[in-house]
This record gives sequence, C-alpha cells and structure tokens, in this order.
Amino acid sequence: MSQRRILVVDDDETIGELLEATLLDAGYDVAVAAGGAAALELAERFKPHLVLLDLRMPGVDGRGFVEAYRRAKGRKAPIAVVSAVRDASAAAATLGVQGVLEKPFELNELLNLVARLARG
Amino acid sequence: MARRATSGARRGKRADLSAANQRLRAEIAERRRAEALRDEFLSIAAHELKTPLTSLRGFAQLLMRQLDKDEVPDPMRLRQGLSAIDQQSAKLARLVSQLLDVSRIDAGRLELDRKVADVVGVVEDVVTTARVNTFRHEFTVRAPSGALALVDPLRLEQVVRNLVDNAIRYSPDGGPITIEVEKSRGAGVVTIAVADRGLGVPREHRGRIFDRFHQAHPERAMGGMGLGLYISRQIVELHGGRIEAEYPEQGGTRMVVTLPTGAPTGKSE
Repeated sequence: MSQRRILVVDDDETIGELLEATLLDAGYDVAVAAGGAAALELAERFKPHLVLLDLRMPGVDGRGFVEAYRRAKGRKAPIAVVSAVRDASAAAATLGVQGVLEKPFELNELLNLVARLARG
Repeated sequence: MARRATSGARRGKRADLSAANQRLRAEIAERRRAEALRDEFLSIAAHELKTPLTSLRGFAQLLMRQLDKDEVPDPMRLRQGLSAIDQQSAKLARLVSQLLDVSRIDAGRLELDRKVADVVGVVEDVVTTARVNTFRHEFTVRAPSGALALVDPLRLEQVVRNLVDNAIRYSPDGGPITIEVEKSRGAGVVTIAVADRGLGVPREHRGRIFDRFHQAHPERAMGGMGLGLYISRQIVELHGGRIEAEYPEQGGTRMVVTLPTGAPTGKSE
C-alpha cells in the first residue's frame, strides 16, 4: 500500500505539532493546517486519505470545513473529529463524519483510529 | 360600603400578587440566564483545560514510545517535546490560577502585597516576554525612565500581561501594539495604555467586556475563558484605580489603566 496521507486541521499549534510528529513516526505523510480555510486549500493539493479535524477554530471551523469539503469536487477522504468540545461524539454524529477522538487521547487510540480509517 | 371596601382590598391583593408574580418571573429568567452562562463557561473552561493537557500527555507518550523502542530520542524531537511540555504546563498553570483568582474574588479574599515598584519596569518585562512569543506584532513602548508607585508588582504584571495578551490575540493578522506609560505627579496617578489595531470589540459587547465569563468574540473561538479582564478590573480596583476601554477611530482597542501612586484600600469588596 502506498504511503497514506493525513491532513491535520487544528488551530492549536502545539497539538498540530504533536499529531504531525506522532503520525510521521508511524510512517504517514502529514500536512497540517491551522484552520478550516487553509485546510480546504491544502486538501486540494495534498489529496489526503484521511482528515483529522478539530471543531472549535477561529474563521472556518470544523463544521464549516465539513460542509465546504463535501461540496468541493473530487474524491473525498473520510474525516475524524479530534476535539476537546463537550459532547464531541454527538457533534461528530451530527456532522456525519467517520470517526471521533476526544481530547485528551492516548496516542494508541489515535494511531488505531488512523490505521482503521486511512486504509483506503 | 363594606362590600366596596372588600372588593377594593381584593383588587389591591390581586395587584400585589401580579407584581410578585412578575418579580418571580424576572428572578427565574435571571437565574436561568446565570445558569446558561455558567454552563457555557464550564464548557469553555473544560475545552481550554483539555487542550494543553492533550499536548502534555501526547508529547510525554511520544517520547516514552521512542525510549520503549530502545531508540535514542532524536535531540530535535526531544527538545520539541520537552519545550511543548514546559509551555503547555505553564499555560495550564495560568488557567488554573485564573480559576483560583475568581474563587478568591467571590470569597472577598483577593489581597494585594504592595510595595514601591517601578511600573515602567513591570511593563518592559511583560513586553520583553511578549516579543519572544509573536513575530507578527510590532511593539512600541513609550514610557518615562521610571514611574514609582505603591503597587503589588506581581498582580500589576498579571494585569499588563493580560492586556498585552489580549492585544495579540485580538489582532490575529499582526500589526502594531503600543504601550504607553505616563505619570502625572500633580494628580498622583500613573496610567498604562495598551493599544492594538486589531478586531476591536463589537458595539453590542462593549458594555460587558469586564463581566465575568464574557467573551467579546465568542463566534471566533479565539481561546481564553472570559476571565482575564474581569480579574484585571478587580486587581486595578483593589489598588484604588480604574480600567477603561477606548475604541479609536482607526480601529482596534485601547485599554487604559489608571493607578494612584500612593496607598489605596487593601481588600476586595
């Protein structure tokens, strides 16, 4: 299987770095965007196999990203919400995304989720 | 006659009941509003506390995974991880301190430890730290060589840091941040003004920016718990001073703190 590409969308710089470092160590190709608008642009070029998405972000937030990403042309990657908001699971269900991980999380949980959803 | 008096008394009672009913409804509405605000605050506070916790646990686990694999951790990765743990634990400590401050204010136990200190020195220390943390903002400090006042220097630093942090946070595209210190010997006051050219405060939020839990840009999810200005105002008022917001025509916000240089009251109300 070719190297899987993961797009991380999180406005918290340190969490972006953490996800990037963890996924790079696990052999994934990773791109990080600090907000929904930048992520939409990056998704077009990077063509991710999976999007890890924060919900609460300035500007285009997680919900805005999901709506715009689904409207955009081209193949769509599964999306997993990674968030510290209360009821992240309920929010993820409303958005109809494929996975959810509540912050703070275990790295094993993250890697299991990514392995499952980025399989293609 | 007696019947008329009775019916008048009944009307009076009905009016009393109606007024009491209205008061009760207003109280219930106010209580619900306060509960909704507290609920929203708890939700935001939990989010704000979980975010640094995620980085703390994550980087600790990442470094441990490398050690478990008997790998010598890459020095760059080690530095990145330890630096994140250091910064995020400091952030967490600041958030917890804010919560404790609010609890102290509620109990009337926020106290000052005043001594003669140089306000300019306090301001310069805050700006020096802020400069390291942002590359997009240009800081200008206009201040006399010194301005002595009887203040709690740590609490004053907390106020100035909060104002400078807000100036940075609410000008997300960068820009100038100007800090001015002026002393007026005649009036016995020193003023500290922090001005940015950022988002400003929407008109409908201006009356409430010093309220507990209030966020001026809730839709932007810019972080913070809505406590910084509330705590700052309490600290400034404990010093016998005042804090005001100005909204310059060219945009942004200018926060002005005026402190007496002498000896004000000691405890919170």
